Amino acid sequence: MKLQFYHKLLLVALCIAGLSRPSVAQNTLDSLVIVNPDIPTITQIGYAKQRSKIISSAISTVKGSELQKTFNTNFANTLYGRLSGLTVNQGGNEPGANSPSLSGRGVNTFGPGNNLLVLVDGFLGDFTQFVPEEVEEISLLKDASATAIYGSRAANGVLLITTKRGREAPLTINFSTQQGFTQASSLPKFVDAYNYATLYNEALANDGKPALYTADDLAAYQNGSDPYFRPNVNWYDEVLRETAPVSNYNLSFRGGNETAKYFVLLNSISSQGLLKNFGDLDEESSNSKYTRYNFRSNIDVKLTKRLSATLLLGGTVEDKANPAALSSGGTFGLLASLPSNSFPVRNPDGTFGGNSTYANPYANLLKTGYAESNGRTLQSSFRLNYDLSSITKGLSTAVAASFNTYFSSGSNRAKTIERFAISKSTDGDTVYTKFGQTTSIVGSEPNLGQYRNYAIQAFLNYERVFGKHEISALAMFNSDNSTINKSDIFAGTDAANLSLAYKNNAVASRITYVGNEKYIVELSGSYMGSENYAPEKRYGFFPAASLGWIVSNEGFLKNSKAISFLKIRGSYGLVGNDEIGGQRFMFDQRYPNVASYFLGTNNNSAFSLAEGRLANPDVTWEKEKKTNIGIEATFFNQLDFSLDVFNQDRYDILAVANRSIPLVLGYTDLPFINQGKVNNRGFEAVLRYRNKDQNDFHFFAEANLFYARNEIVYNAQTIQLNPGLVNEGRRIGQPYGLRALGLFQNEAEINASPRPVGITVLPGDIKYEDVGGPLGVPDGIIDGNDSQPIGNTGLPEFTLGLHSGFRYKGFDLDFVFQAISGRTAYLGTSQFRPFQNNGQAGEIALERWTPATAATATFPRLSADNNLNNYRFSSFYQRDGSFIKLRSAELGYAFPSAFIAKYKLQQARVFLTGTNLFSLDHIEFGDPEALSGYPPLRTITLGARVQF
Amino acid sequence: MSIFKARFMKNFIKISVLISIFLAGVSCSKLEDFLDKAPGVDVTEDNIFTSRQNAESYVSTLYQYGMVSIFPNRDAAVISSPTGASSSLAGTLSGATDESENEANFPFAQQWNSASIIPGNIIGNEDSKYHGRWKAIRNANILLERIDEVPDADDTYKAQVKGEAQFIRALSNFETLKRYGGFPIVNKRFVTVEEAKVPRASLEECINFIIKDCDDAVANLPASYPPTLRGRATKLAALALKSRTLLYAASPLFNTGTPFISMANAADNKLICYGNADNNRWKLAADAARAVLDAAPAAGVALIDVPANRDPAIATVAQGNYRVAWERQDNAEIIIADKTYPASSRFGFPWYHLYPVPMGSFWVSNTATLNFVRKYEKKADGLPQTWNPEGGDDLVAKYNELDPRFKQTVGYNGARFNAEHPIIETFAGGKHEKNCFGGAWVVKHIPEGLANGGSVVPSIALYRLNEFYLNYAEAINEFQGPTPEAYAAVNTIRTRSGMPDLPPGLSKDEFRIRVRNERDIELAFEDHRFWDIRRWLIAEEEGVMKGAIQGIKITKLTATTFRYVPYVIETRSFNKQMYLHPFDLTEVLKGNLIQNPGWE
Repeated sequence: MKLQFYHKLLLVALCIAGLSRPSVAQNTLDSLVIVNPDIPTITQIGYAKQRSKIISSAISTVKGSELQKTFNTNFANTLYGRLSGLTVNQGGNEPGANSPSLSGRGVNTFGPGNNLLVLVDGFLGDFTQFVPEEVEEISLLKDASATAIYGSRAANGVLLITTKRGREAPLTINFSTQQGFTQASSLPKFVDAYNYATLYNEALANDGKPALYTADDLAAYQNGSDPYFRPNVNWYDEVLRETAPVSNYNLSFRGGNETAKYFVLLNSISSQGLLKNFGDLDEESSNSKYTRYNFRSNIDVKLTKRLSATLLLGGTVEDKANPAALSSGGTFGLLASLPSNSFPVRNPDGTFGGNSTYANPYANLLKTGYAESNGRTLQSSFRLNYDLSSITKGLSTAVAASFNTYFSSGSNRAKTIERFAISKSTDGDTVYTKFGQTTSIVGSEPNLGQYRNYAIQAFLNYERVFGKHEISALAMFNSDNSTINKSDIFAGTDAANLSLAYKNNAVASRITYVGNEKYIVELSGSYMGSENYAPEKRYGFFPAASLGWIVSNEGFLKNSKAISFLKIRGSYGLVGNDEIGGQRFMFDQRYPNVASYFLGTNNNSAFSLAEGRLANPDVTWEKEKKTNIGIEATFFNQLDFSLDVFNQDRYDILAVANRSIPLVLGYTDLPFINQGKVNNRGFEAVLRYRNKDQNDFHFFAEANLFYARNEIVYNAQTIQLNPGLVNEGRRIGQPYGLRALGLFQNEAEINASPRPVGITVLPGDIKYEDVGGPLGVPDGIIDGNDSQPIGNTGLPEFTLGLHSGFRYKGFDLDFVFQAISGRTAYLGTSQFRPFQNNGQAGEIALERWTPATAATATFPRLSADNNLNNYRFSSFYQRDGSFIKLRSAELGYAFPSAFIAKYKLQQARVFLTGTNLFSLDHIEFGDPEALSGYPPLRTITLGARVQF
Repeated sequence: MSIFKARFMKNFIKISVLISIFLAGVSCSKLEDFLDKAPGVDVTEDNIFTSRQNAESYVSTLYQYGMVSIFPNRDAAVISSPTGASSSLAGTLSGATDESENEANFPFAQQWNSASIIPGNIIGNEDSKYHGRWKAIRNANILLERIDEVPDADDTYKAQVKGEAQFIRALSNFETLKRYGGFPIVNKRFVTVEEAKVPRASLEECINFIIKDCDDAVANLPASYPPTLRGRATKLAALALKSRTLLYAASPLFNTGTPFISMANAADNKLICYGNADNNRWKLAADAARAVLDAAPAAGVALIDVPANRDPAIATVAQGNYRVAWERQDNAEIIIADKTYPASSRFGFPWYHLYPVPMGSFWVSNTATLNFVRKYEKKADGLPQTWNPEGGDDLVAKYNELDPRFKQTVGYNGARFNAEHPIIETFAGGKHEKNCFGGAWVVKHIPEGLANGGSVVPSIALYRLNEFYLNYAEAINEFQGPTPEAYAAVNTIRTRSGMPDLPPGLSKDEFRIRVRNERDIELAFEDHRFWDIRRWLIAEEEGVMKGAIQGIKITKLTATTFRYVPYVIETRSFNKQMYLHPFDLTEVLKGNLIQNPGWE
């Protein structure tokens, strides 16, 4: 209801705006169809902009307008395959809880902080709730030269988000809408009741137990003749719907004159969840939905000839609701465990089915209340620029302040309900056994989280050209202060310290010299301090330098037709990462309270304090030496190519000195010491082709390839006798487990092989490799000592983004593929653990080992009890996690201008957009990035956009 | 631009620059403060020593870390070890000796019985407190270093805290000594990591260090405390520690020129033995034990000995002297007890390490072996009971003839357990027979109050006075033979439990056998046997830690007659290097410790 009301308001506003327009502007400034995205001529760099041609550092950039051709409720999900060097790893899929993890140039530390520094318009901020329509450009700063100005926060890379601003042009009004649906692109595959019962009998037989289901039972499961006592329920069908509606409305105003420029945006996006509309069925439940309203008002005003001001305001209001609980995680966990023959949805008397082990997911969603959340974000900044050219030409100064805040609160209504297991008594009556209690509804209003930060900045800028010499320089001061209400960030920190703000001070500077439009020298650095370290250890200096040579401007290439542009660049520098983990204020010795001792004949509890983890007064941030060498070239004005090769040496990573400090020291926990080392190296390549604009046909294709591989050089791991367990020389996050050698085929093979102790191993069980023992050599026993590196991590080593499009007359097509490789998926969810923990059986169980299928079986023999041999963490369940996904595709049609002019429109376009349309991968049973939890979503929308 | 405007702009710039400089100046002075941590949200070490009340919270940690229990699991739980707590740390060490056999096969004692101990698993299989002891010592060293700074503490209190710290440091070091021999001596708080790379000191230096701490503690500590502070170290506790230390020091394991196995480098033998045998060490041990007995009255400590209760009819708390001494919390015989835990039911710590599983616990318990039951003499004449190797139908009669302490220690077939299980049935098909390998359950330490879901405060003594009569008798006999004082000491213990005096005229060797047997019975299941058989170097003898461990199988013949048939529960292995623990492998790899012989 609420949603529709807002939509109507938007439409009314739109109509008024349209009618009140005095005249149709002649020039169209925002083309609705972007084909042939040119290399931008101006690129956002740290705290400034620079001509793209003279950039001597490693930066990749994507325009916000390119990210519109998709439907995503989380902005970060538009970035798959878009920026070379950026790894986007799909997060959850539930609308409103679907933020992917982002990392720049892979993983560079085994410490906890591998996050990019995200800056929105120059200040710490969150961009995941943005809509593409409000974003001008996103830049990923990668090498030391690009990031040194961010000092001790820069080592993981920096993501700059620049929002759209007004400009000197008549008002243009843009309105667009997308309407469509979303659906699960894959669901776990479980067997039906007949197969479940058949396989369960087999599993019992394997365990040496009598069958549970009779032939009658099996027949009834098969023909459905007894839906109450021998039910066959597909619970996914019972609680999920095929498709759920999504919609988006966007309205923006952009324009301005010499004095004032503005960009104003309103957006409303909604995505209903896959759960059925339980709120329509019961007033104590709720429909599953996610809605967000965005607004933005970016204003630039020229106050005097020299003084100008900028006010940027962006905000969101986010509403989410779900039946039963705010997150659907519990529901999908239950769906993935509940056997299809457990009980009917409803019993013959209308009560809900259930048993002692399992609740009824349908009843949970219908009758146990609901949860809502409401989040509010405000991001604001104000800036004053003052032109000091009266002192010397090219000098200017600016001061800026920012305040960002976020708050989310919940509103829950909860109750429990009774469920009944049914059975037949000896005289044939139906006996109802009750589980659970029906209670009345209870409300709660939890605080779900908040943050706030403010910052001030002051700048001195200088930019001037002296003949063939061009100089630009910047000096700035930054001070910021963030308060985060989140208890898990620094585990073990005293409660009183959690609310203390995170603070940073920095002065930073950059000087760029370009000689003769050929030779580029850039020096940058920052001197930065953080509150987290001892007073004398607070500040650090982070310098970087880069050199560039525009070869194509040299005489010998100046007239080359083939080589339109050629630049070679290199950079080297030192940057830091202050997300070091551990407790805050590690320089201070802590004395936490410990369990009380009891004294006296009455055993009085005596409050006890103890020395906590030993302080390390020298604790400091991680550091990284980054080297980057790059080449950029354009051939025949059509083919762009760039290649960057990098080597990054991270050091001073916090690690506990388990290996060297004797216990005699008497520590509670060893101090964290800056001693870990990681090397990460790789390359990025971009190839972009665009045909020269001619006739009605435009075409372009862009491929970006990224590869990185890290290696733990030193992590102070305790000495390992078994070489398989050594971390050094291996990758961060390397899985360690048993290596499976296949399935045992007979007793003789079992007797001749190493086995676990205390577990009876039978034919059809997994055979493991014996590589270690308590003395570091194989001992004939399979246990934790036999762990060894198996497979790859969950993060890809190769990422390929492929973006292509063409336009012919009014029609256009645009699509983005993401392909990744060097990644392992693990089949570890209940779908692949038939009957374990009283669970159901996935279809993979049909491929089980039996004496008859011994030669071809790809799954171990079944057990009705928990099998301690077959479901250990091992290579048996690892699969190649590579995939190619079509992340987005859009087919559009732009109406001819002669036609739309009649309706006072500048442009009009309709388009069909698909998001996450398909995945080509090696996993038969689901999405390689989402094998459990909320199903991955495919979204298809039909949209229209008009510009006045 | 008019002249006026130009001038205005110039002034504007000047003013702006001035304001900027001013603001910059202000902010620079504030910049450092800006990054300072907000005050007052952490306890620091300086806070602790600003008042007596704060210091007390640090002293109670001294006990939390430093007190010794018979439960390795407790140690692992209180102070999480870097190697992690292990669920195999169930039960007590008794199951690794001839006293008992665990009713399950997962407890760590079974690793000793199969000689599966290695340097890589010692922490998880007995010494989960290796790490905790060094923490306790660090805590004690910090107290010794700073307690004088506490402004509102008087000299008596400061001396007392020093004494407590010295006692805990000595206790921790003794616990290391009895396991490993010589250890790194830590007599101050180490500040740097390099300082902590201390090598092992010689056994003699280590013992002297412990004795010095004991002597200092005796000088510093009060004789007793008000009831609200009971549980803290007293003069008598420090004397008790000294006695036990010197008894171990005088025993054959350490008091020798040649160790049980030579170290890889023979020059290192001084790390695990004195390097000479000196009979005078028994004199020192005897004197130290005598000192405990002499000082006991002043501390209000005395043997529980109500003459009417020497041979109780029913083995419940109200009845036997012996049972009262181990069961009743804070009874007069206790010198000091571990008080780490509040009251707990049989499902909580530590009772589920003791309470027999068939009686309604769930984790682990011990069954008494025939090897152990055989040690009980007949109360009528003080002679050994005869147990027919082929078995017999007279089990009830055999049991009835035994030392009164038997029924106060062992839950045999037909005995009372508690109000919930008035009659124990361990015969074939009986209610409590499952996994009762020895034929009887161990009931010592299990209070009557746990019946029917009751909760009892665990208060298992570290030192009770009875031990020191036996320490004294053993030491004096070794020093100069079975003197009347030696006889008197053993007979005091026997008398209070209704046993006849030892026969007169025993030789030194005969007396040694009797006093050791007395010790096995009197101190059974109290974490003495394992260490005693190692210091006596008898663990390798058949039926001690090596060879056949026997139990009995019981058949019900009539309501009152039962047949017993001895059988071998388990054949145990013992390797000679097991006379001392191996140091944890990861510790040895850090480079400052020389590994014990046979474990390299």
